[in-house]
Amino acid sequence: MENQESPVVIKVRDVRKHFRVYSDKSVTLKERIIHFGRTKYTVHDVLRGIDLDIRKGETVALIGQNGSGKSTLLKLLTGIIYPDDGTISVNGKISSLLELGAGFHPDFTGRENIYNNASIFGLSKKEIDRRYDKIVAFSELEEYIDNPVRTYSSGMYMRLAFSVAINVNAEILLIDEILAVGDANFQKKCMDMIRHLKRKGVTIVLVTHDMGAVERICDRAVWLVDGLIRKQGKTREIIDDYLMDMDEKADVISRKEKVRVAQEAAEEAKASGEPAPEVIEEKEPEEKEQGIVEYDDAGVKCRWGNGDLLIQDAYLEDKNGMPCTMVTAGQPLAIVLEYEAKNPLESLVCGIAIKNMTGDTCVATNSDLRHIPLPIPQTGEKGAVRIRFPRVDLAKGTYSIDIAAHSIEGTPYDYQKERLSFLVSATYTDVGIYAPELEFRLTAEVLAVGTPE
Amino acid sequence: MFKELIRVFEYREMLFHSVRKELRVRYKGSVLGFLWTFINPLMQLVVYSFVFNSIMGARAPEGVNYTLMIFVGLVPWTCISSTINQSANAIIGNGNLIKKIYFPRLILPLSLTLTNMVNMLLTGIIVFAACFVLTPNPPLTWTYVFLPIVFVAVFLLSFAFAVLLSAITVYFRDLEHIFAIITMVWFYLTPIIYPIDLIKSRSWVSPTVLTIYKLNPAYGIVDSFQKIILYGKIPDWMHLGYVYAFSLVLLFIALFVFDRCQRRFAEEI
Repeated sequence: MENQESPVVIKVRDVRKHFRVYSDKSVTLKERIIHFGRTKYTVHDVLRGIDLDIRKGETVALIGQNGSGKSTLLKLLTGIIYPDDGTISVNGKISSLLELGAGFHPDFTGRENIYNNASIFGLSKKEIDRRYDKIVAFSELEEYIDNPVRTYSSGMYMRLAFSVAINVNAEILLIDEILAVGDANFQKKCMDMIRHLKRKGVTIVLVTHDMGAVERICDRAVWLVDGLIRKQGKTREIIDDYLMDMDEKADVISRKEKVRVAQEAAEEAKASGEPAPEVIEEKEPEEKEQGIVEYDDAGVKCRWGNGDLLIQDAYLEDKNGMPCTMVTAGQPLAIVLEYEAKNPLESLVCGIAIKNMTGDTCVATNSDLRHIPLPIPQTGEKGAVRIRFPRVDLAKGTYSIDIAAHSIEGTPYDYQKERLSFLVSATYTDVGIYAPELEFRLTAEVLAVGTPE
Repeated sequence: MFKELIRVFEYREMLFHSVRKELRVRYKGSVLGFLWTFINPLMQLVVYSFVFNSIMGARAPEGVNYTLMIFVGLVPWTCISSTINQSANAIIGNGNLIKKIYFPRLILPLSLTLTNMVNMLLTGIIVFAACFVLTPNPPLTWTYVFLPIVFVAVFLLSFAFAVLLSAITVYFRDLEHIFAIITMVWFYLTPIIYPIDLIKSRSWVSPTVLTIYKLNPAYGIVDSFQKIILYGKIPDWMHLGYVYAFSLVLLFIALFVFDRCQRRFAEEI
């Protein structure tokens, strides 16, 4: 890769940062004297040894949950705060878009604020003069530029601020969660501008929760967890890992929540003398006397059920009935579940849920929802359920499959989360989930209608 | 530390805008607008002149108008004391900027000092014009060419205090109140509303006490202004040299302290 050869412009070595969280902070001389040496605070480690190299021209995303330290790292790079330990060296003119419109004065006109704000970014009068027209044009505020900014709508305000910040012509641009500015049109413009800067060789480091944006513009992603870099590498891979992790955490939380709600409902019902409503979905296996439960490497539960029936094997079959892990869009695919009944059953429902990497459910269904009664297997009987899709019309990407067998009431026999995964390949790269075959037809009449008279 | 000063130079446009903004914000929106710049010191002048001269019978030395004497001392003093009093807010009041944007932090105390300098020059011109009305024969001498040297001294002294105090008030917020008290005492220890000769003529003032009295850096400044404007003499280079030395040493210490403190500004505010 060409990036490997370009020089390192940001070098972070073993950087540590902690914040003091004061329980009762003394900020006056009087208090300092009274509480001398007794000020209570807890040390909160935000960054715990970060090593990071960013090369010239790279676009790098810092991702991670809130509190993982990514914004702190960005602030350290800007020079707003200093590390407690370790070194940061930055080579090049840096501009940070940490907060838009900082330093704007409401009584000043748009023009004055442009000059004001650009000067805070370290531009000289001449440099601002040269960029002025571009800034105004980009903000689309030509008509309002001589009005005080207090008369602007918040959208206009942000647009002006963004226009100044993005036109500073830095060699290194640091962006913190500000891509959500203005309407869709303006957002697109911002994205185009960032792409343009990227082409021009500007090094960009950005913090955002918008994984779509990250994927579209970043070469590399750095995933921070609790002040350490968990993983870094190609954007796609890191995002997949990150989202999967988030998904699992969210699942654990929502399951706990569900159980809590169900228990409360049951207690309430008991109190009012009514029969407790049945908790159908995803009962915690701990409540069962017997059953199965398995955890994955990250300690997240990935399999549970009462074990009356076990799904021993699961795999995917392509159009020729051969096992596969990849399918071309538009081709058939079958999910095969091989089971063994362990105990006498009263009913059997098999289901699947396909999710994409952002955790959106693409399809979740089962034999009951599709009104297909499955024969009830005898104890010890083995068999297979084949769920066949005549066409896979999913967008290009990686998908995971949850598989399940449960009773008609919903008591899980065997639920396996993300047991399978597969890749959909396609020549086109649609955004979204559903990517059906389409036709685009252009006719003269249609175009004529679209033209303003 | 010198790197930081070079950075300040790179950000001179910000400095310019921030001074202009300060000046505009200060007077915009008030009914009399920019007139406040002149009315405030003019009223001070009238009040001091009335109370000390007309009521209490304080006299300026022979041939000098009392009001003019006060004016000459009051203008530089106002610059120094307002800079000191406002420095408490120079960093804290710009917390929003400090937490969000990188720029050389020294810009803030520097812009505060320059704002007050500009104010000083403006009031100086206007109030001086008013003094022409008060004095029958306005004093205009060639010694005015030395004024810039004294203005630089005022700048250095004010800036040194601004740098030092703006940084430490971030850590000790109540210093703001202490500044007000100190500047009040300091005002009376400086020969602004009374002539210097009056101090010398008191029996309890021994040569040692007089020397200590003159260690006050504001003394050299006020004395120089009075010598130049009131008496048409050249300033006392010894006293002025002392002011320069004092200011530069203080500035050096202040820059050092500021540099140490600024690392945690964004967290402490």
